[in-house]
Amino acid sequence: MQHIHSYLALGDSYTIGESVPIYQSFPYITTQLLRQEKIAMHAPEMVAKTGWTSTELAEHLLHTHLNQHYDFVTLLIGVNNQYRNLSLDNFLNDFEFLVKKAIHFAAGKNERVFILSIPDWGCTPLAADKNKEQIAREIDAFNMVCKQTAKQFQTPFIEITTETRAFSSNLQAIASDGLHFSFETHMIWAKKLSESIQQALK
Amino acid sequence: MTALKASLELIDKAGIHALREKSIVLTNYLAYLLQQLTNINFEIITPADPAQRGAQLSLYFKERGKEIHSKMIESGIIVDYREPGVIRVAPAPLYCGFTDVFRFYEILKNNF
Repeated sequence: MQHIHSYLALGDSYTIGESVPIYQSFPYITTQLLRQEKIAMHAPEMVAKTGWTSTELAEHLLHTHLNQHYDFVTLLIGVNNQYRNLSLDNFLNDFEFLVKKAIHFAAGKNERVFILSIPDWGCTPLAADKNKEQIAREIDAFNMVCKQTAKQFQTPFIEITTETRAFSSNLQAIASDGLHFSFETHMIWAKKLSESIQQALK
Repeated sequence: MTALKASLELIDKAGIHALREKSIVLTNYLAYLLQQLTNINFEIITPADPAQRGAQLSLYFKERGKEIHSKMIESGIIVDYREPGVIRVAPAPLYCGFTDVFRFYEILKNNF
C-alpha cells in the first residue's frame, strides 16, 4: 500500500497566504509540486493566522486538535514579534518550544522539520515611509535566532529572506495589499521547500 | 486482502468509465448546490474545471469550520478536516448518491 505523506505547516500570515487564495499559499503549492514528483501527499494541515506572534502560535498549538504525527512540518514565525517590538529573548524561548513541538509532530525526526527564514516586509510598498534599514536589521536579528535554533536542533533551515529583499522593484512579487507576497513569491518558497523535502526523503 | 479483492470486483463490475461519468455529475451537482448557499461564508478551493478534479471538493470555511465538521460527523457524514477550516467532501460514485449530496447541502443550509 502506498504511503500518503502528511504535512503540517505552522506559522502566521506568510503560511496562510494572506491576500492570496489559500491554495496559492506555499504549503498548498508545495503539496502540489510534490504530487507532480509522484510523491503521494494528503492536503496540508495549517495552524497559522495573520498577526500571530510566536507566543500566539504556541498557545494555539496547545489547544488545537491535530494528528499525532506528520511526515513533514514547517515553521515560519517571528515577523509579528518584530513588528510589535517584542523581545528577542522571549522569541528565543518560544521558538525553542515551537521547534521541539514541531520535532514531536514529526515523530522525533528533526530532519523532517523545515524552518523557513522570516521575509523582510521592509521591502514592500506598504513600508515605503518606514525605516527600511532598521526593519532589515531587526528581521536579521530574529532570523539569527531561527538559524541558530535550527542548527541546535539539526533541522533544515531554508533561507527565503534574500529573495524577498530583492523583490522591492518587482510589484509582481507583492500581493494586492502591498504588504504580503503574491502567488509568484509563494511559488519560489514552495520550490525551495519541495526540493528540501525531496532531499530529506532520499 | 479479501476486502480489497471484493472492492476491486465491485469496481470492475460497475466499470471505471461509468464510475468516472457518475462522479463528474455528482461532484458538479455538489458544487451547484453549494453555490446556492447564502447563509454561510466559504470558498470552494478545488479547481472548478471537472477535468482538473476528482471526486472531491475542498471547502474553506474561514469561520466555524471545525463546528461544521463536527456536525457532519454527528450526522453520519464522513468528511475530512484540515486546519484552518478546510473540509474535504468526497461523494464517492460507487456508494454515494444524489440524495447523499443533497443531505450534505441541507445540513449546511439548515444548521449554520
